[in-house]
Amino acid sequence: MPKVIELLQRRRNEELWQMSCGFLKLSLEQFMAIQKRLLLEQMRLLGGSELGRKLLHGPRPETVEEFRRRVPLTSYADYCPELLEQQEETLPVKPALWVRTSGKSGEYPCKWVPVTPAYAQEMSVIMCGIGMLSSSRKWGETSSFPQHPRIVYSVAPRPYVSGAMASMLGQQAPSDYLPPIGVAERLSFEGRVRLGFKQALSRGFDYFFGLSMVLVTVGDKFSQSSNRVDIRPLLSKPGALFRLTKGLTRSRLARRPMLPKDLWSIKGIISSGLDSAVYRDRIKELWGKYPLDVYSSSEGGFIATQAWDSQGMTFIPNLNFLEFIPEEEHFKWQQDHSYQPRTLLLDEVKAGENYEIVITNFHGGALVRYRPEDMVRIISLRDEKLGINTPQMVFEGRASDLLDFDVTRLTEKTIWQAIENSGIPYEDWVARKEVMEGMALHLYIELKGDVGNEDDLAASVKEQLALLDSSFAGFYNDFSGSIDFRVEVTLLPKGTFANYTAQRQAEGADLAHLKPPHINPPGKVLSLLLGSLEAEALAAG
Amino acid sequence: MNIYALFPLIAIAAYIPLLVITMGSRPWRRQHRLFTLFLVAAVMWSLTDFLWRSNFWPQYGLILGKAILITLTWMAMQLHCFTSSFFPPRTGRWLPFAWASFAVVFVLAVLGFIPESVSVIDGKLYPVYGLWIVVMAIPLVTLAVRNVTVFSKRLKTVDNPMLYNQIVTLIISIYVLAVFILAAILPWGREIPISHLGNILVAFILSYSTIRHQLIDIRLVLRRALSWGTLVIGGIGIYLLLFFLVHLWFNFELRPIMLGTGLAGAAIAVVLIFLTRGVFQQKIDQVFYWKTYDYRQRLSDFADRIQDVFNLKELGGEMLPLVMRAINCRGACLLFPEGGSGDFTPQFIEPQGEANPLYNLRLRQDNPVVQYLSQQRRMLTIQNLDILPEFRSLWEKEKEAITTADIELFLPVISRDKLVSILVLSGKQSGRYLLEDISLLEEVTSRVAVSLERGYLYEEARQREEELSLIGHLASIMTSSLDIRQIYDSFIRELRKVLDVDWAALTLVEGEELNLLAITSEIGSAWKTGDRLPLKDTATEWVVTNKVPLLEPNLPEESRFWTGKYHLQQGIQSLVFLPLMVGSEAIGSMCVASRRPNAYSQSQIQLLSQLASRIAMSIENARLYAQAEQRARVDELTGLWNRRHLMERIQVEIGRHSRYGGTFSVVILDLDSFKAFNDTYGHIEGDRLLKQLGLVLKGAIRDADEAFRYGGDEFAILLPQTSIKDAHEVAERVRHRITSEVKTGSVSMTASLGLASWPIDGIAISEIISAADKALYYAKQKGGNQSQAVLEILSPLSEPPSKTDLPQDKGAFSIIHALAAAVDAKDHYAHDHSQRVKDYAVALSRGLDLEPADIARISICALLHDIGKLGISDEILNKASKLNAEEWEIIKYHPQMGTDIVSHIPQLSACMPGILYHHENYDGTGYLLGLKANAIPLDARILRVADAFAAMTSARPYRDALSQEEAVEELKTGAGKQFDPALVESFIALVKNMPMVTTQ
Repeated sequence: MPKVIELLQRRRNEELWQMSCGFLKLSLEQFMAIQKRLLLEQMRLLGGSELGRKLLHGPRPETVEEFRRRVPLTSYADYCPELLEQQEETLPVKPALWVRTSGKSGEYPCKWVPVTPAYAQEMSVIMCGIGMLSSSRKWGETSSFPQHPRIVYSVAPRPYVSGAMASMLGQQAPSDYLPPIGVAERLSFEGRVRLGFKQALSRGFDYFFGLSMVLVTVGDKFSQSSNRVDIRPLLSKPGALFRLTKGLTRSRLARRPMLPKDLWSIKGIISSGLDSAVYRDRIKELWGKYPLDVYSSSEGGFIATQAWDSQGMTFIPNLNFLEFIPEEEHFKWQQDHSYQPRTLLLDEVKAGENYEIVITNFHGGALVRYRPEDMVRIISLRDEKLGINTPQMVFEGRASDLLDFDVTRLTEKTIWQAIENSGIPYEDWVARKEVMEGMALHLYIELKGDVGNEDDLAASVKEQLALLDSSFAGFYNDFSGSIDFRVEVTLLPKGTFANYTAQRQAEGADLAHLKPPHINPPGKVLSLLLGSLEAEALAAG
Repeated sequence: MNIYALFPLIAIAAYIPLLVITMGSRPWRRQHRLFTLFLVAAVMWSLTDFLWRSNFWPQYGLILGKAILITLTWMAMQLHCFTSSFFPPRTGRWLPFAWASFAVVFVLAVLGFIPESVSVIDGKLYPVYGLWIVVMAIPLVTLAVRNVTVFSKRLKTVDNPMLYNQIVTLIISIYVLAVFILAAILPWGREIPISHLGNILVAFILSYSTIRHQLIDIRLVLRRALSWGTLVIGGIGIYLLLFFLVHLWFNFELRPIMLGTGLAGAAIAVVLIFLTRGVFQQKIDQVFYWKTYDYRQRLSDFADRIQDVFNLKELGGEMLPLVMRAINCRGACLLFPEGGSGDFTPQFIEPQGEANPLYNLRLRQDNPVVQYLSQQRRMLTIQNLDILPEFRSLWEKEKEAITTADIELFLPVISRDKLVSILVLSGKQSGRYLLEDISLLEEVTSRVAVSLERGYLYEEARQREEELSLIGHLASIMTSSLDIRQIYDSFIRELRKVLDVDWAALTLVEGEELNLLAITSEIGSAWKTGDRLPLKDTATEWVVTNKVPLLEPNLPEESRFWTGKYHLQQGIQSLVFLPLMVGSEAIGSMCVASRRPNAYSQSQIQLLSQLASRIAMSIENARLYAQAEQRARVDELTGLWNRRHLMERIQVEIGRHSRYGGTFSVVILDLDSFKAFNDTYGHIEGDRLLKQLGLVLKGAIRDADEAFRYGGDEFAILLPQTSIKDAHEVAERVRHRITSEVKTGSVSMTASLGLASWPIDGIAISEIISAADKALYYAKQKGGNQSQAVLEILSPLSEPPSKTDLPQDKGAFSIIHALAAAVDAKDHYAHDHSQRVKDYAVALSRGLDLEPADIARISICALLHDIGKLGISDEILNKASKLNAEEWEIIKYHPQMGTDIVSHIPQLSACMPGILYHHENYDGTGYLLGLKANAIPLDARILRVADAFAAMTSARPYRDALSQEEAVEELKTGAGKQFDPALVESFIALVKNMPMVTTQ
């Protein structure tokens, strides 16, 4: 297979796009044909391995229908101890590398997932495609796609999947990471980000791959400090000095504080997770470009990506076999864990519905009908504007992070977006469903300044929730007097979340566990957060 | 008119067909439009030059001169616009520079800087370009150099052969135009319109490229029109050029007669060229294709003549080597769909042999390569597989196979809109595939498609015919018997003639188990016929559930079921399981296995499926027959076996016990008060009672015993390997349970039972049944509700037996004779032996003047002397070879056994000494006790002589019968040793007066 860089150098643009982003051009039938065919290959590979036979529960299925009928859905517990202990001899194909996830607190120290050579190869090509999509405005455009891109490295290092993805990119095109991968992996997360942007100031950068929140934080810091820039340390760095001068000039001309977009003409921003949807407008304002949202995970690599218009995400056909558990089936399962939820295929999903996703790794991967516990929403069955003929999705959040009231159902994303839209300057927040004198959405927020009181904030958030969620909005409009839950807000003292992070760091928690979960934090976490409040109350009282 | 005006005129004529065709072809795409604009500019340039040189308007000479330069520059700009549209993306096209240069030339021309002036010499116009002409030349040269540079670089990276040829055409066009236009600036270029000569050449190059390399995508029919149009116009142009040259060199005047002669000459030349064009073309091709020319030619000839060839082997076998040599590639193969699966597999391969990596190529029907060729119907390159998204579904193994086989091209062979075959080509020996190669391949595949399809269908029909014949033959085997086990061996033996079968089995699903109905093996088997295995996770479970065949092509590589390891231990590597379908239900599987991996093709599996359905039908027929047969043997009311089956079973038991020895018993049961019950409660209740009795009987007998309804209220029980004593116990148990368990209301229900035992109470079926009946009658006589045996009947009929109390009645004698016959029947070589011994013994007794009672006793003794042999198995008794020590011991035991049998019959107790000692020798060397001389009872000594003489005069497997004299001599020899000498003497005296009887 030719490498991306070879096609780029030979200017075989159409072929480059076909190879890296060709999945956008597939019809639904072609998409399903790829899915079903690769599943047949995967079943054969599974049938020849010890772990595969265990998961298939008997002889290898011969057809996709038989596979779906016979093989039960799995969770990580079904892969223990094989994956947890990295028993490579039990796997369908010897892995090229292992990646790890954070896992859930208390369940496993972490989840280890093998990545086969073929899987890594396919991922590397798609990774390049995602890079191209993030920096293009239409199909076939490569004018802004550099042959040697500079990327700010602000992701978790290997063996986390994001770090592995960064190194996989090297299989297809040589890239400059700021700071270099070897250096970055020795630094703390903050240290990596700081050094990355420091180097970017001198050298410039083309792509950002990481958490959107980092871009917002960095952007905010720039704008806040633009009036008191000390240029003396930059005197020995003409590149940085020139960039800063350019940025200052631009901001002065625009009569506003200096923003990152004054300093850098960033080509593409790639992010994964809920925050990119929440912060997308803010990022556009600060960096001059919308982030390209990718739905990826350690267990399934890339599952879907936005195209150049940064709207709905298109599923990727050749890394995982995709199945979808309808929301009502998911809730049936929640009530009775012995229930085997019914699944749909991509050509059976309906627009406007939420589904829990189920994946089966292709190319000899280990996961079979695995539930990553993610909820997605199918927003349309095709993208007419871009001519994409496969269903479009948005990421809704963790399946377990749904707050289910009598009528309405809130996701982490909805709540986060509502808080963001309410315009409250906040540090961080957590939310819980509480049942005391009726049902309530209880928000615990740490604000950045002394603005508003708890009742005002609650009203504001509730109003924004109504605007965001159409089903909720309908209900709100029609029955606003008898809404099925109320919003309560508890303001947390300044420094609550910073203290929490520091405490977790001191306990030796890894990156993924430094912050509390937004939805339904466990009692232990909540008491840690509320401990600050009690301490303050004691101090006051 | 200036004769040089012909040059631009010819250029116009050359461009016009191209322009007309291009403009007439829709839709206009961007490149199409740019090309049209270039053609318009080229025509305009030639037109202005023609007007200039024809001196039509000499007064406008300067204006025309300016127009020539402006149109020339315009044409150059348009050429640049067109050629630069072939630039790779992101390569600057310098369009602003080009149009700015044109604007400068335009301004300079309008302002009168170029040309500076026009001079008239001899009535002809000559331009004076002046120095400013350099300003015009520089941008033109710059653009030409830039274009050639970009294209030269592109040539190094481009993979598409068509694009490659297009770019080469453009480079040549740019070179030609640049060189000829620059040459026009030279002094002699003022006189001769050399630049238009270049223009004519470019017109021909572009026309050729449009026709041959699809420089501009116009439809085929238009390209052909263009090709002929260009030829005609070109011909006329050449003709006019010739005239011009003649005029120039020989200063001929243009007169009508000369023109006519010239036209005639040209017409002849055209005809000659037309006739000889083939030879000319051949020579050119030979130069171009060099070594491969001959093969190309033969390939082309082959494509012409294959219409009459029907044989696929001939078609593929000839075509493939030609293709390979014509194209000069490293390997090639022709894939055809395999019957059953539709997967494409190689039917022809070049170079031949398993070493060719193409040999193992197999493209599944759902392989994206097959799908692409079938839907797109165009060639597929190896590069496409890496690039196009639909090929993301290729399996790693498939990619590996394609890479290993060094495949470069897949060409579809399409006939009647259907993909009939795939031509697969490896890389070339040197270089890469050129457009000419691909054109040739596409042409050949399109021409052979119909013939290949026809050949393939013919071959398929022939195979089908063979299969049908085989199926017919195997079907006749299957219908030859209802015993599946019996026919399965013959079936598999026949199947081996067409299929690789080392192990085969028929398996039926019975509940949660598999019943191995039949196994045929060449290599040993982990299981044997009749074994039962758990059904779960077996291939049979899979095929029964899915009702489709299952192939395990390579067991060492992948074994899906737990049974796989056992097959592997037997060396089996590939297996096929076929469901045995009866209607819509699968009742089991047929399995065929081989020690060879990948031993079965899909077409073979299809054939096996048909055979499996026939076998399933046979099994079902056998099953239905068995059911019907069983129904015929079962009494509907009680669920017990019926009388008919009792007779069959007794017959079977007589045979079995005759072969293996031992005794069996029969009990006949009759209800004592059934009539009364019926009278009291009616027949319906009577039936209910019989039904209940059936259940009680089933519960009371042992597992090995069988109960029958003999008729009315009579029942029977057959007790294999059971003595009369043990049978009595069973009978009593039955009787007690009837008394205690059968609920009959006010009428008490008891049963009487009569017992008989084989062979003591009877030899034949009728004798046994009759004996049991008698015993039953006796039990009834004695008041009922009791069990009676035959012996118990006989005992009270007489006093304790004495030596002379021998059976007197006719029935008893018939029993004795029957017993003797049973003994003789066991020994195939001693037919009538007992009878003959009796005859000799009686004769000797009479000769000794014994009492009649003694003679009668000895007579019975003689008849029954070997009765103990009933307890010896046929195997030993009829063994042709020498007996071993153990077997000999069994034989020696038969006098004792005979005595035991006789001891149960009190009337025969007098015969016991004769039977017991009839193998004792006079000198004490015999058996059983080694008695000597007169210690041996007389009866036994008489029997010893009679038995020996009868045996000697009978044939044995190891010797012929002795003559009477020889036998007498033997008796004499044995006198005093084996035989009593006095008795021998008497016997010899008697023998002389006896008719001789020997048996053979």
